[in-house]
Amino acid sequence: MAGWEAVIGLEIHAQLATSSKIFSGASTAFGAEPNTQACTVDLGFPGVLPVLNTEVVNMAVKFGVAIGAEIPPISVFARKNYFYPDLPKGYQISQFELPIVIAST
Amino acid sequence: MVTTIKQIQRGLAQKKFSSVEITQQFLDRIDSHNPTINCFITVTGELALQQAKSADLVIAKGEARALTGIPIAHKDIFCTDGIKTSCASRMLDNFIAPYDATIIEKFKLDGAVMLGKTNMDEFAMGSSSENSYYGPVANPWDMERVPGGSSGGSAAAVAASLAPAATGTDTGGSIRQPAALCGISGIKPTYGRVSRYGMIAFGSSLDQGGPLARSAEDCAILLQTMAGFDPRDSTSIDRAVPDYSEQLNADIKGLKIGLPKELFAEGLDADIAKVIETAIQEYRRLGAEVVDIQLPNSNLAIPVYYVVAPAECSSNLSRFDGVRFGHRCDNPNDLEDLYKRSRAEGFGDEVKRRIMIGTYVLSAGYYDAYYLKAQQLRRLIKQDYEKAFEQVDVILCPVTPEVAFKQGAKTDDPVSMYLQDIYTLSLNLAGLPGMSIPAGFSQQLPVGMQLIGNYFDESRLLNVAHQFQQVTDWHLKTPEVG
Amino acid sequence: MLSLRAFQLQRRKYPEMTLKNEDVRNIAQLARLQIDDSTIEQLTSDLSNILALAEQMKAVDTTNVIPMAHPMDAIQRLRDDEVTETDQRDKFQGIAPDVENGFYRVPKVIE
Repeated sequence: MAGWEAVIGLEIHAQLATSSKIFSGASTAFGAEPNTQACTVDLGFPGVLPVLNTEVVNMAVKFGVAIGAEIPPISVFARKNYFYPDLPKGYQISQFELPIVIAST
Repeated sequence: MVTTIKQIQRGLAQKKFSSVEITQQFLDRIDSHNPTINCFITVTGELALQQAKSADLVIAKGEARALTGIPIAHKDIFCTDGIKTSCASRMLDNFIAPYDATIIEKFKLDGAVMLGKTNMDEFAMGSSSENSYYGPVANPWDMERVPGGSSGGSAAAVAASLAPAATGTDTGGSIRQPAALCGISGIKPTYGRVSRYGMIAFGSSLDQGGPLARSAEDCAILLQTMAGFDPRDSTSIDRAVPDYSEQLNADIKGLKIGLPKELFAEGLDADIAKVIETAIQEYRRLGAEVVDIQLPNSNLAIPVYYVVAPAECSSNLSRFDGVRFGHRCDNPNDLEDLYKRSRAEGFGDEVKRRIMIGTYVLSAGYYDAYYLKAQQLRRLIKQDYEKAFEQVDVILCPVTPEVAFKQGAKTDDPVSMYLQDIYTLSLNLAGLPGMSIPAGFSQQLPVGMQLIGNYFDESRLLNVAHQFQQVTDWHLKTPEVG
Repeated sequence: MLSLRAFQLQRRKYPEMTLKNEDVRNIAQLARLQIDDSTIEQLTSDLSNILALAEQMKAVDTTNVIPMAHPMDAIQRLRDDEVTETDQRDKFQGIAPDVENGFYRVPKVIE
């Protein structure tokens, strides 16, 4: 097909080998019964608040350094708002403008 | 009738009455008067008496803490484990909280007694406590008028002596404004001073929990328990809590009080201006020095707040989707229907308006012009205060533009209701602590005055308020409740 | 100058930021709120009035002003990677509208 260039992007999800979750102290152990490792924070009950896991930050930075990427001095979390049954708060705590690892070439 | 925390502490210590007796007294008053005032959504009578009994045992052993055996009412925005927590909304009418808010835990540890959960504007959105699924709250000073909001139930309960003190929350004035309209004292602490864990979120960067009580002295006792770092709240500040009661009696000779000229301009209600002017004279007599200051960006508070608060609330209320808790509509046709009808049925009109404004200002193409711009203006508002505090120790100004208005007077025009908060909003935007104390009357209705402090200067605010209450008796006036 | 009267005067001065019914329907969709056609006029009018307040922000120059997300510009606290929560599924699901075998049930989602 002339005139067309194939551009293929890979969105890669990697599960971090932490003991507890990114924003709560619930266990990440594999194989538990459904929702037995979902605490109040994970379930998005009214009034709960997330607290960021140090090890997550350490791992993200390690990864960034390993691929020769830039680690900015300031990184910002932002809410990505949408509705879906597997999204308890109705938003994902994500990163957009200033992610912890900035792409290398 | 014994009605203040200080009086109850004394009575318990001197064995004039037991916690069970004093708790029963308040429960009886609630029984008689709540049907007309409607300030309680849930009365936890049995639990209160159990807690009182335990407290009496602790007191007998000589191990009483400041609030042991003292009955307190809690705004129905704080999660209370095993007890209905509704935020005055149909959305949470069936919600039994599965955990305790941090401040509730703290009160429990201190041995306080919980009388019940107070009525409020739905999800803390409002200035009149008329936006409640459970009906409006009446102002004990005039039952046809509003007590203010959103902590109107807490304010009315204290004013009518149905509770010696209560907890509230303040996002744009919701502790200070009802305190002013009900003739009681209330303080909104510095942002980050009191944990927000378990306090159902409205505007995450604005919300703060605080006490409403009969005096600065009582507020100090409550704040002592409420304040403090909480590792479960990332926005709570790790900073020592001073002894608030200890500092109440400090001499205020030489204290510099700032009067922001923009807030005393033509247009302030003449009666309110007079009450505040008289209060200023009182402070002069106490040896304070009055200084004119400027807050040039104060008129931006309203536009900025009505972008930031709805934006944050629209996101915070997305979790109310009928999936895991709260109201779910009957027989949803599909997922979209489940979301739309559960939320439409669960939320009242004001909540829906704010969610929609918030959704709009955060949507693609508008985020920069609205939310980002508002966050920039917030910094300018904060900078105004920082400059002012280089010249003065506290700032004094009105709390409300008018006294308690009649129920229904402003419900047709949302913006007219929003304008009730013109003097209180900027504090939440800047994160500063502020207090409202009774300063007089107009048309036989209470008038409050506002004291604004620098970051974490709650001690000074309570001290300055307490000194005023030592030489005046506005805070001792109570309404005749039928 | 900050007073109720000043604001009331300003309201008359600023042309109202008008939303159309269609805008309001889009917003309602994004917010997953069902709205009745009978209420849409009033809603559009109310929302337009509220947004008119926000228009006053335009008048102020904010070039080079850093947006403020936290009153004390606090930075994110970090938590140690420790398991602190236990299984309370029964308690949490006791207040759920519809659960089965530990799962939360919702209408089927067909993509």
